[in-house]
Amino acid sequence: MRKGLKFIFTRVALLLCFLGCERDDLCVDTPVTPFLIITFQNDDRSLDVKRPVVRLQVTLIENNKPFFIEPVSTDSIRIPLNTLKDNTKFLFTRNVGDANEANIASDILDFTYTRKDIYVNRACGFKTLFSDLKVNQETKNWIQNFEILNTNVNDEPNTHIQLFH
Amino acid sequence: MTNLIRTYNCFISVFLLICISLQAQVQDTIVNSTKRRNDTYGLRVGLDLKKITQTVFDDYYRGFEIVGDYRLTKKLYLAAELGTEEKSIVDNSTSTTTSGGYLKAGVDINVHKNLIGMRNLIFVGFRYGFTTFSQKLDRFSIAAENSFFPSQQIPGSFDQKGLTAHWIEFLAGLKVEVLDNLFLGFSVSVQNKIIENKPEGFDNLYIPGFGTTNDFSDFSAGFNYFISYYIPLYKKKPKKAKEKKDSEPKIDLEK
Repeated sequence: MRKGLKFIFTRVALLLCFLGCERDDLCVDTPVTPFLIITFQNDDRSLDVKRPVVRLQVTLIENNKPFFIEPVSTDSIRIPLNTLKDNTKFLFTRNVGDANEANIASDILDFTYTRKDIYVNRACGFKTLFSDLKVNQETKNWIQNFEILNTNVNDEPNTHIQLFH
Repeated sequence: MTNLIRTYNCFISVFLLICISLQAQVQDTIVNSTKRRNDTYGLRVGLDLKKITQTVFDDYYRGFEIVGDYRLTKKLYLAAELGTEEKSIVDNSTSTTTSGGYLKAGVDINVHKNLIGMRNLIFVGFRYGFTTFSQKLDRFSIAAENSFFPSQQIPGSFDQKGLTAHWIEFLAGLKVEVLDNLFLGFSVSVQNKIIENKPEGFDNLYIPGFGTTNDFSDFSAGFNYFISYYIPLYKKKPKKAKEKKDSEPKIDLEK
């Protein structure tokens, strides 16, 4: 009798321990919605070299929201695409805050794509993958040209678009 | 979390109740020595109280389960549970509602040696479980590495019917006769999923009868408490009963 009760009791205790370990609610180390990866190339395409942009800021047109906290000087960036719309329009500005205002230049690029929402797991929920990526360059002040290297924006860390300046 | 605490409270009180009644019965028997043998065979039917409690206190849950067992031999019982569940999981990332009916069937083995006149069970058991259910994606949001675009809840697009799952279950528990033919009991169980069919491009976050699924294993665990009524159908006289009668001590352990 006592033995039996003890047996059950330890089982119950074990089970309570089990239930105490809640599932991991954090979505970490799992690829979620991918970024659009852009690299900046020298305008002279025969050179085929990267050319960093000085003090670059990328701003979302619809609400004037800057993506970088501070302007960055870099030759490649990762920016998010809007997962609720079929296009995202960004303003690319270089030499932000330059004393010589003539150096500051901006161009508008409109990225259009097809979205697909895919289930990841319990903690992360869904992610969006993009395909049929197209670019519509609306102005040409400093970005001379572009080339789409990959029309699918998925989890691969490869460049999707090259911008020549 | 509060639901969990409530459930545990209820569970602990039932457990205490059982312990107390066990104690009381031991004393009763010693004093009265009713000499009623545990030789009746019959059907025990009842209700899962945990599911009823949870239905009352949890806004996101509705469940009902009939439990039953039939005594086959001295220690072996055929046992089954028939139930229905509707469970909503509400989460920032994914919200779903699962509903369906299920049947579990198997055996319980009584490992408890009763004092004379008592018909309690400490049992270990095995079940095969089966369910057909539907799963609706209520809402979801898109996971992003940063919050440049604010996260937004999107209404779900599908309601998948005709899903099925099979599992096996090991359990252990108590059934204690608290009044004549009235039993209170509880059990703890571990379930191991064998097959499930998932909605296209999605997952089953909850399976009726089986419980909450997880991303990293096919196991789930559960506990239940229940009330049941025993309907004796016939008696089986043990062969040795006559010989034993003369030398029978007042308190005897049945084998």
